[in-house]
Amino acid sequence: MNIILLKHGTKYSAADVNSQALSLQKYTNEKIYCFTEDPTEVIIDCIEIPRKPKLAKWWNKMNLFRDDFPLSGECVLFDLDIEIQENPFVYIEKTDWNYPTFIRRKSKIKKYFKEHSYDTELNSSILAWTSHHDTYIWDIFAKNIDYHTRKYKGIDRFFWHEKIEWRQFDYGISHTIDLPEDT
Amino acid sequence: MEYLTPLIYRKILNTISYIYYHSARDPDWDLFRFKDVLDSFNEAQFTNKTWAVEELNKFITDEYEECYIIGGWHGLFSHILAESGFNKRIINIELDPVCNIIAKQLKIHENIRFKDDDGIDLFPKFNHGNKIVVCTACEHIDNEELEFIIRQKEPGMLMCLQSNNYYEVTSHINCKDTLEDFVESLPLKQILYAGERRNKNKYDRFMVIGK
Repeated sequence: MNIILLKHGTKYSAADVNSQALSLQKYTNEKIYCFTEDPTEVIIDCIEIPRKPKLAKWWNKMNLFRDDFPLSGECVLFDLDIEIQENPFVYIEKTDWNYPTFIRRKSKIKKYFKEHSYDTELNSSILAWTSHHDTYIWDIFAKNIDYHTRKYKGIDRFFWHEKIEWRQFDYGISHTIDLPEDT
Repeated sequence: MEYLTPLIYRKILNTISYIYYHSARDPDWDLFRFKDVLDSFNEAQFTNKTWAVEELNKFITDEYEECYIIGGWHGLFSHILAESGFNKRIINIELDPVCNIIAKQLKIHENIRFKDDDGIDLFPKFNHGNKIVVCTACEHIDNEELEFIIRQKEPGMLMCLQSNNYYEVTSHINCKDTLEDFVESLPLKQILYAGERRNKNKYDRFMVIGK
């Protein structure tokens, strides 16, 4: 399994990456990579975010589904703004690797939202997928990047509303991390 | 009667009805298209496109035979340019074919055309000194690609380019902090106009006209 930490732009620093890597190393011996355009001062191995097409902020997560993503096999991404409090791998080990897998937010399930609000119950703060297996997701996105990035505030909304097959982690995974409420 | 019947607003209302019809029948048409149309004709869009047309018109001479718009969205710039008296061909190039279908619904002037394509890829085909090229959405275009076409352009070509420092919008991949940064990023040989305007007290829009 590959573990990936995405850092793009200046919102998060190399120190945030290094610190999150240390938090995860308490629970796993798997290799941890930083996916970034700027590896300066990052102490773990880095893989470079493709330069084209240029994407902003969290939209760079879509690159994980490209057929030229440099890592193969089972991968798990952790956001840098979540605090690891317990072992999340207990839940990640149960992943059906045939589908991208998200946290599903219970707090959103009973909330009223019309489809055209393009809200979502998914949260990609922890995202598991098999590299090179779901490249159709990138193809959907790449067909009209500008429109998708206007229409959806983030990739979780994109996954919920586009024709993408996904799975959810057991709800217990939410208790292993401190998750910002509205990500 | 102008208050009751401005043609553009009647066109927009008809277009909204058109989108509703298609959204009920065709999966390529979703309800966000309503918002997209409203955003593309909001007050800031009118102000910024009108500003571009007013300044650009000061440099348009008879030698210019066509105007190409890279990333035409729903064609607002072309409507305002045609309305200002430019009666030669105006070609909107837009990647999203649904945007062009919508734009055609809003068309009034016969000299306006719409093409489904990538304006950057198509640039060599209209790279002539007697063309005007406009892009009021440089914040959506990769800076390297923009720089590349400007370096390739024929000397007489008149260019009008806008960008902004509105980083919060995640479809904006090429914002600039200041007008000076924007000017510096454009390898134009001659700057004819450079200016900026504050929008909704939230961000600045920059415009450069040059050759």
